[in-house]
Amino acid sequence: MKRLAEQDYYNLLEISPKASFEEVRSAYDQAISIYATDSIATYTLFTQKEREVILSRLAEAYKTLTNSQLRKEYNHLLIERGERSPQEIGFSSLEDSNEARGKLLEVSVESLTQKQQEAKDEALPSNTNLSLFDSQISVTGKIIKTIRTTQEISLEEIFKQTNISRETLEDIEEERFEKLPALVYLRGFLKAYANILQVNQTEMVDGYVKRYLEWKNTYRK
Amino acid sequence: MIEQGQINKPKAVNNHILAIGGGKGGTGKSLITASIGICLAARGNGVLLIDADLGTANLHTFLGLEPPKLGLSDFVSKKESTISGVITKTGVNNLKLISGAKDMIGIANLSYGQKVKVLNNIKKLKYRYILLDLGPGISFNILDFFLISHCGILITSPEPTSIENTYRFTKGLLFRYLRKTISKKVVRSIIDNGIRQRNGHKFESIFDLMETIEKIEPGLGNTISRYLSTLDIKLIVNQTRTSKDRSIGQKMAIATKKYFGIPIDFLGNVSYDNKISKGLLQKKPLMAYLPHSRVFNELTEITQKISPRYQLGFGFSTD
Repeated sequence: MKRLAEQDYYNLLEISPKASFEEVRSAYDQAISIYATDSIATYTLFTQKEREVILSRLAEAYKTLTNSQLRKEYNHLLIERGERSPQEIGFSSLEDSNEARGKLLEVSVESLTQKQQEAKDEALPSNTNLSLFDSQISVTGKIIKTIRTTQEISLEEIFKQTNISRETLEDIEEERFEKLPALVYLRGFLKAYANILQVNQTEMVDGYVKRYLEWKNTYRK
Repeated sequence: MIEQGQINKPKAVNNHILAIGGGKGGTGKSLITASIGICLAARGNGVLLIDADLGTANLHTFLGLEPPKLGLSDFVSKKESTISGVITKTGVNNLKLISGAKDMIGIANLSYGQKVKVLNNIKKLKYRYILLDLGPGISFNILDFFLISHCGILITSPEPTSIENTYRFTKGLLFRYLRKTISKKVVRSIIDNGIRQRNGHKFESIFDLMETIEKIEPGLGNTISRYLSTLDIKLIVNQTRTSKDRSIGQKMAIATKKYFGIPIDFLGNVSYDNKISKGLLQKKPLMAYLPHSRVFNELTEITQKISPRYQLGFGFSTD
């Protein structure tokens, strides 16, 4: 049982090493509300000195885990120290992770227009996980559903984290295109959905929208 | 049985003993004990409530009873030879009581021998659930009763003073456990110093203490950690009013687990309800005057978490 200040960042925040940036954020907010100086919930549990150590460590943890480069380096450090296994972190090996990331970048760049490239450059830091999509095929609702169920995430959980209604999520998965909202909303939903599933946002959004637009052009002339 | 140098948890054979404590008076231990007892009984379990809050016993009032003629003190003082002899009915099906109402001067301080006698006899009683209302404070007797039970429930209110006392209680438990199980004199004196905070040997945190122990007796730290993780301690936050109040319990559970290595199960919140003090004046049990209230629902949910196997209205306890 390690001293609070010596637990690794994931343990400290009580999150899985595969947690998304949003999960890190909300874990950090939760931790601050527990350990902050004026927190009633831990009144007298810590000395002021202990609190300061904990809070500064939490800040370090947040900064590191929400920056893809720093996080990657930190993960490597943990693996090198033997404190975490590569499987826990989500890579089958360090080389695979770098390779996958490399592929991701190549593939994404190829399939994008200039405008989308800019948008994607903004989006990149927020999601560095493995790409589960083959770049050339469009992304079907069925694929999205499979990714979700493989990770054992329920629609309820997606709703809780994104506020997208279950009906809409089902419409997306079942490709009930006629029921889907306007494209601008659909993109937003898909982006949030992709984030929860920890897959490349741009690929999922573009891949699905491609199908949607194909349908739209065919049926709604 | 608390033997020198060892605390053995009784196996859950005859019964399941739940101790209810928490450092401060007025947090609602007796009310909650009585209410959970009634809920468990309503689900068909044989339940015995024991008012171990000697000197300031209130359990009978929360059940709407006049002070019973016989109580725990009669058994302790040997006026009544068997513990079964001091069990009284409560007017609620499946629910019995050993009252603490017959106060005797000096009974608040049980001797070691008396405490052991009470514990041994309680363990033999055949009820599905035995709820021990320990009352406020962190005396050794209270801590020992808590440690010897199958499950301990801490009650706190959302005030800083109550929370402070809850942490004191938890620290007290830890030190009491350490003190009783470690025989090495050197380690004992460290713990004693830690408790009394003299010789400049103040431990800023539990980890300082554990580290010091580990240095002197390697491996002991691990043994202690392992035992602590087997404790079944639950937390209820009573008299909550705001959503901030309601967020406290979960946070306390997380912080305690992280700081002490003691896992605390947060059972839930019980809302403040000003009808309760009015109801007390009528000396009726909660269920009688707040049957459809939020408080009643919260207590029902808490009871379900304590006894998940039993469905409402299904069957009777078989022992």
